[in-house]
Amino acid sequence: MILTDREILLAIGNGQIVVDPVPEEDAISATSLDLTLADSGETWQALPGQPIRPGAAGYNYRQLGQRRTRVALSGYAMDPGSFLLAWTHETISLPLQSRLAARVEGKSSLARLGLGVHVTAPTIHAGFAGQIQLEMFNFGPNQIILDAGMRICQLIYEMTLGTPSKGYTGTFAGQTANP
Amino acid sequence: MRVKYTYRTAGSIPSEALVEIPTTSGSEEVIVHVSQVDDTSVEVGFIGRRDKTVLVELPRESMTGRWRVWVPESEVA
Repeated sequence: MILTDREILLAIGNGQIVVDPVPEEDAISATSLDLTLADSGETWQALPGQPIRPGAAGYNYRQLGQRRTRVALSGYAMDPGSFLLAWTHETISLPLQSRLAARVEGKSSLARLGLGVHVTAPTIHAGFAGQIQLEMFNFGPNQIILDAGMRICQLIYEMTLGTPSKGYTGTFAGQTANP
Repeated sequence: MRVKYTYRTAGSIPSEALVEIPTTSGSEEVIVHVSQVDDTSVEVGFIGRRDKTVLVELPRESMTGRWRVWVPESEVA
């Protein structure tokens, strides 16, 4: 079940959803909350002849550091076909006991320009805390200028059925139906 | 519940840290929010226990795509 504007505001008010900084009321629509772009991101540089093999034994993300470059996102020009790792300015928290998860989705105003904000990984799991990572891609033919603080994505909040195991601390914590 | 990490470095943004957690099948790298780590350990969710190992759920998906990992009991903080 998707939370409506009234339920989102109630959930923020009673701490079931934490958004820092607290969003302005006009950031909320009927069934979503708009989030804004942080002031920096990262781009990837390919190393010729050195593909990335995430499934290999010993794969190490830290070793990819030399391929990543920090970029400021004030007036950042995103070329057609380019990829950018970015984050929301807002820090989000979904306490496990809130029985809520979320999906980060694009905004239609940007999608019509060809701008995507995630690469098949929209789920914000129950218990998440942090700034939301955006895997941005310019699918359109035009260069798109990004500015920190612009509305970049929206969050859709959904109720979960029950509390996830990791959030359950009662007498029977750790027990399963089929031990 | 918390488990010890063996390595910590800064993440891509100030609010993130990359930590390495020892598991029964090798180390797992996971990027977490700085509020979820202290000087020695990282916050995880307890799922179950078997022999001298504990099944925990990581705060976020690890760099190899895992959410749940078996950790030696000795690594629980």
